[in-house]
Amino acid sequence: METSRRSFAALLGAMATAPLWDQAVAEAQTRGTVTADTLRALLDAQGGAGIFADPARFAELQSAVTRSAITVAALRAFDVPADVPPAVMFSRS
Amino acid sequence: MADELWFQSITELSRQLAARTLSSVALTRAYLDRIDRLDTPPFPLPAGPQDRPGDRLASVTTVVREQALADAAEADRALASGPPKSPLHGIPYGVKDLLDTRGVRTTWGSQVFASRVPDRDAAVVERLRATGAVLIGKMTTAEFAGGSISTALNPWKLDRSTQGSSSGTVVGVVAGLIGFGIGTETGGSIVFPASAVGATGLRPTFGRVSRFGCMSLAWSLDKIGPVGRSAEDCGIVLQAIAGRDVRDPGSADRPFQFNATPGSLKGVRIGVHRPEIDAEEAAPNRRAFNDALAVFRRLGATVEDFILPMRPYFEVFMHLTSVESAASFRRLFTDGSVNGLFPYNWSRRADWMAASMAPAYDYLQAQRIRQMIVMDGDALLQRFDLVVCPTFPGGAPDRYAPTSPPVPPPPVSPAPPQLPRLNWVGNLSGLPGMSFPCGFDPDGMPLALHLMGRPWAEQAVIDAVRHFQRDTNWHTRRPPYPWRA
Repeated sequence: METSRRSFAALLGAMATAPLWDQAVAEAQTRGTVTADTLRALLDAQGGAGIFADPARFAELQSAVTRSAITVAALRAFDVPADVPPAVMFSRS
Repeated sequence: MADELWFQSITELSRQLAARTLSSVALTRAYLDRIDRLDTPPFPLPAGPQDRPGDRLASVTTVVREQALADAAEADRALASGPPKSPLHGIPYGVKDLLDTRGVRTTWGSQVFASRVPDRDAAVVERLRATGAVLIGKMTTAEFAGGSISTALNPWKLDRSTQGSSSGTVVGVVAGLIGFGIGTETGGSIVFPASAVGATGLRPTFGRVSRFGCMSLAWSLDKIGPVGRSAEDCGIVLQAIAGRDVRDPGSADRPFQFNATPGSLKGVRIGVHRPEIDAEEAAPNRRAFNDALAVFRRLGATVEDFILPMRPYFEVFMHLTSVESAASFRRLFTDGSVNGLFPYNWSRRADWMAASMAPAYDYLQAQRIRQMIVMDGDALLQRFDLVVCPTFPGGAPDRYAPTSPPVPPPPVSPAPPQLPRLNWVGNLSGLPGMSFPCGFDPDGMPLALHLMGRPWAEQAVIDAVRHFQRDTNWHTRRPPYPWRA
């Protein structure tokens, strides 16, 4: 199977998405915004910038990722007892 | 034909149709003529909010004229030769333009799908067809059911918002353009516009109504429900659309049999989320809400205050909705159609991409907090039979009409703790809830209460509102025409 340089980069990026997202959450909390470098790395992990390569769209995405990261920070800060499962259940009823 | 016909209840219309003092064709023509006269705007739909919208309400994206008249003629033939199939037999209705209709375009409020014509009916449309109801219009929605953007205008005052994605449905009901309507709700899209426009809207228990054939915004939160001019109308429609459907694994084997004789309110315990009333700045609005609660007390209910615990309700809702929407709409990015979104939705497009970057454990953390909220709600509804709050803090705010593509918002700082709102508990927990008019603000805009009950207890919610509506006449007030600018 042929693997293009771009898809290989995306694969590597996907493996690194969680640490990159943690970096975004930390930046949003400490600086009030996710940096352009972190956002570019997150986009690479998605397989490319697509429509967000345009500077105006990139700025929209930067605001959106900052909003989402701050939301996630609030969720992570909330203490959930260990015995509370997520409200997601597979059943065969 | 008296003007009052447009505003009659399902029961009143049904009685005349069954007695054949009114024909379904005449009723359908009456609504179609009214849509032509009051609703159809000079610009094509779907559209974004307009800078200068004029005075046409723009609540119907697609008028189903020929098919409606044919279906009405068929209903008249059937009613001439036998009993009605249901109380809805021959009554024209509108359905939010997220639900598929065979042979009739279903746009999801977007130019991207302006020419999309499904070859199937949504389960709800199938069920209504089986009752003999007549589909007359696909009702305007914000693009992909997005937020409080208003393309449909508010007939109480044209410069005010219609507050939510089922706005076309509620405007159609309140302006007398349809006999009843179908809306959808993920976080408030039935109850908020019902409040802003003065309709009675029911959010059923999660799983009560099949979502097969309906656009998915957030699988774990989406509900479909009726909008009417009274609680009784909503009960009649819910009976027609509820029940298990194997094509929606989220639907439950819980059909609904509407009991037309409401049980007594004597001894019913109603809990009031007092902070949401106290947070309303306008004293006349607080007075209106308190006067409405006094009606329940007078009717025999016990009314007692409670306070919700602090939870990150808004954050849980936003994260779940954003992640699930990102998954649902992923193909818009892969096929490039995301470029065709209305400018007002460009920031939402960015939100979807942002949500797709977050790891699964954040989604699961949100679902774990949601589980706590569900347990909070269950405990609350052990203490009370019903709980209530203002549907929206005041009357409908000014409508938003962007004059140019939005500029990126500035970076955000951590938000201060928000007032817990009972609506989040209701939606995240899948509880049934009904918004019903309870007065007017000083600008003459409708105010409403949002009453919720235990899972599958729609009858108790409907009964309480029916008692309220027998004792008051807020739900019978109509916006005067010509509409106020």
